[in-house]
Amino acid sequence: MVLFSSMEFIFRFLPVFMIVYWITPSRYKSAVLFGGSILFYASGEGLLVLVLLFTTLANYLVGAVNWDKPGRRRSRGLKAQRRQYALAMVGLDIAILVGFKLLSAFVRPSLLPIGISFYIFKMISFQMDIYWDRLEEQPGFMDTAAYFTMFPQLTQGPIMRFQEGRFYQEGRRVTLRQVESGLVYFVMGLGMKVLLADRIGLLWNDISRVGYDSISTPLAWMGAFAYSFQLYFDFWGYSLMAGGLGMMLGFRFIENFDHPYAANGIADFYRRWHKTLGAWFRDYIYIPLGGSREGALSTMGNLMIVWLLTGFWHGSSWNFILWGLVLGVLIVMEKFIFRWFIDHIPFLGTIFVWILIPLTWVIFAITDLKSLVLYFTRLFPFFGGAVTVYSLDFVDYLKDYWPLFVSSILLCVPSTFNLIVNFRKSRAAIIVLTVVFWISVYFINSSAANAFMYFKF
Amino acid sequence: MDNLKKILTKIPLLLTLVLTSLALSLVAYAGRDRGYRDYEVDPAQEPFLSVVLTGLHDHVYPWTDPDRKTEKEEPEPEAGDKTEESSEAKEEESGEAAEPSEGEGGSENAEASPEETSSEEGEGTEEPSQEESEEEGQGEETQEAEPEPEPEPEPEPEKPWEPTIGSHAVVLQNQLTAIPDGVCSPVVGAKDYGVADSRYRSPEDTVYNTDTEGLFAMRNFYYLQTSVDSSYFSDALFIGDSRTGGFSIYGNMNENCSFIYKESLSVYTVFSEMLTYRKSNGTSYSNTLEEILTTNTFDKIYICLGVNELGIPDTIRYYERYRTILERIHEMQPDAILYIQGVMHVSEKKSSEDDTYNNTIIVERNKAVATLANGWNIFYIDMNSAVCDDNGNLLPELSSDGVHLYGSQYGRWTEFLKGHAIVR
Repeated sequence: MVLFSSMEFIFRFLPVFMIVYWITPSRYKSAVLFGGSILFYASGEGLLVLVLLFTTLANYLVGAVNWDKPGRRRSRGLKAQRRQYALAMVGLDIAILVGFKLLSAFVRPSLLPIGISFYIFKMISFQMDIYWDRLEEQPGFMDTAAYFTMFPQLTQGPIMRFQEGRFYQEGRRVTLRQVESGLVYFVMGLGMKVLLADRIGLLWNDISRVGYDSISTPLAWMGAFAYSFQLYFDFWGYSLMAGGLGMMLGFRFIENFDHPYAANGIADFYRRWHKTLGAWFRDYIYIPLGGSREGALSTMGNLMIVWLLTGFWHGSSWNFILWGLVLGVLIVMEKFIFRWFIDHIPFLGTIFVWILIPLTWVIFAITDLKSLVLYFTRLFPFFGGAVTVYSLDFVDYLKDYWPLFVSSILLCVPSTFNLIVNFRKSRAAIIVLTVVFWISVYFINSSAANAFMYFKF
Repeated sequence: MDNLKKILTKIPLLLTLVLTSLALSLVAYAGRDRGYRDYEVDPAQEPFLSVVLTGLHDHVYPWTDPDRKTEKEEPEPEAGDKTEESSEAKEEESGEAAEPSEGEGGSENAEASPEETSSEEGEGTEEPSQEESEEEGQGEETQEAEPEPEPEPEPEPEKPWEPTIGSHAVVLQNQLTAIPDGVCSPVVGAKDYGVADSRYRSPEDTVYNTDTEGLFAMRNFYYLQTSVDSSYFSDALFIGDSRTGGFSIYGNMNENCSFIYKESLSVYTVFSEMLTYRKSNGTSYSNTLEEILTTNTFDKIYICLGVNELGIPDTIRYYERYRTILERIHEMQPDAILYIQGVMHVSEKKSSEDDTYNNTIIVERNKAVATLANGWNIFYIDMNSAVCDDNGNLLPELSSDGVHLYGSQYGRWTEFLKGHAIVR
């Protein structure tokens, strides 16, 4: 059930939980959210919920001991103690995260608790924000536990900060306006994931099935774009659903994507893509390392460290490291060499994005080195490589997939999305959203009834 | 009242979704005794309205007559469903199957008796030949016949071939004559990793026997497999699922060769769905199998189905359905050679982990449909020897998902077909 796009979540967990949550008095809402989220997690992950509970408790305790009124004068001993506690807890968090990642890589993939990368990052930010005196008031246990575990953000983010959750209010109120807006975002995200991402992703499956050695160059590029769109609309859709659910719980909308494919350059792309992760790396790694204040060489080094870590965070197989490395190099090159061109030639940065980003996603997608090299020889056939068996294969696929490509490209243009958002209260939008909702549910239902959605031959 | 109106106008989407949910629930309720009678809903996991959506998917509506529906098109069972029903159903079915007199016509019953007796007598001598032709030395299957004692042993007379339809499928007895070597390809066996879900299988001692008359009866005259060149396929039609789709593109077949396929096609849906009809020269359009078979004439028809129904109980039902399909195709194309293509095996990784898509069930089903061959105008061919290792697993370097061949590997299939063709 840890998927938002499942019948069980949409028609069982969500309505029941929301009704209980809404009728609960404001000051107990955090407790209900904590309890509901633990149930949500345990229903999908079983005993791995213990990892979540343990880290929640440990981080709360250390945070509670370490919290001190910001701006208060402290003795040297207290300062040292706070530092030790914070670093020890962050160290333990990192050890747990890395430990489980290695376990899953070398023992069994199922040993990786879902969402651990996200909730551990929340915990580290919580710990460091207390140490850096960014929390004005002492966080209470239920608020902290609800913050760490809240189900909308538990499995795939966004990585909200404790302060952004505004837990200090006297309890939490939910207005009807928030509920409605949240639902609009939820339905939009659901449609993006189910009707766009899941559909266009099938092209990538087809290509792996045919084998990279026999695809034509146009099909290889179509595949790179299909995978890029799948990733984008899956993750953006998910983030919209998470943001919408957050609003329905009375939180403010946490924006995770800001039209990355309209970005002016690679660095700009990653300021708009998975924003909360980028901001996390900036605030807790890049800036503490010195950021860009200590000269070009140190900036380059810091950027490379951040991107290598970003790669490792996404997965423990080597291609993620390579992916991070390539992005680090691209961003460094952009910062120090291409900046002037991007600033002076219109659309150059966006053209960079549309050519280079899909190529980096191919590195992200293919875990096996030999296959990756093979795929690149198909993308760039002048490097030689295998012979295309059927050179018009892409025409066949274009016939099937063009509507998905067209809608994907349209949705990459910021004004399309903004238009929908601006007119979301109109009668026409309500009808469209209702239709999108039921078609999505129809797809979810028929793939559930089939249980083998990905096993259709 | 005004207050309520104010509230409701603030939440138009929520209101619309709640109302449409209620409306669909009402539809589900209205059709509970008719169209949706056979659907099961686990109320803890899904809303009642999901039967409406599932129905929509299966072309079932509240007013659909549930009995006619099952007759016409058997719905795919819901795979999430963990009830014991299916195993009960299987027992029932195999019970029926063991009862040879269950056939439709009265003449059937009369004819069934001599066969049974002869099987009782000839058990010892005939079994090896059957094993040879069907099992390829796997030898793990113990075929135990349970013949009912019946007098009047009488050798089966050679009957003139005529397409009689409706003889009963599964008879627990041995066949009178086995098809000699070189007519049909042997069923390629595979290592059993013990993960196969028993719901999808049939009792181990089930013997799928050939008829003594009608379309599936063996005769004393058989055609032998031989090698041909690609012109052989110029009047051939290939019917199948996504594997045939891949074959049509990457098989490098003869220019005039025809294919009709669809992803996730199964023996249960082959006549009811719109399929892609494609010629080797690249032209393709949508049509039904029925339409294609009525408007064209083919000399050879290759059928390659069976993967998508691995998760549908069970082997006997699959066998029965396969049989009706062959009968129906034969009716429309009486002069064509029908090839039953054995299901291609899956990789070791898949076969040892997946309780549904594994070689144990595939081999069992291949053995079942192989018995439908008559060596006269229905043949069984099994291309697994061209793509599998010694344990009957699809070679891992030939496939990324363990189920489909890479585009570059379909030539193996083509070559196999060229080496195993019937010329009459």
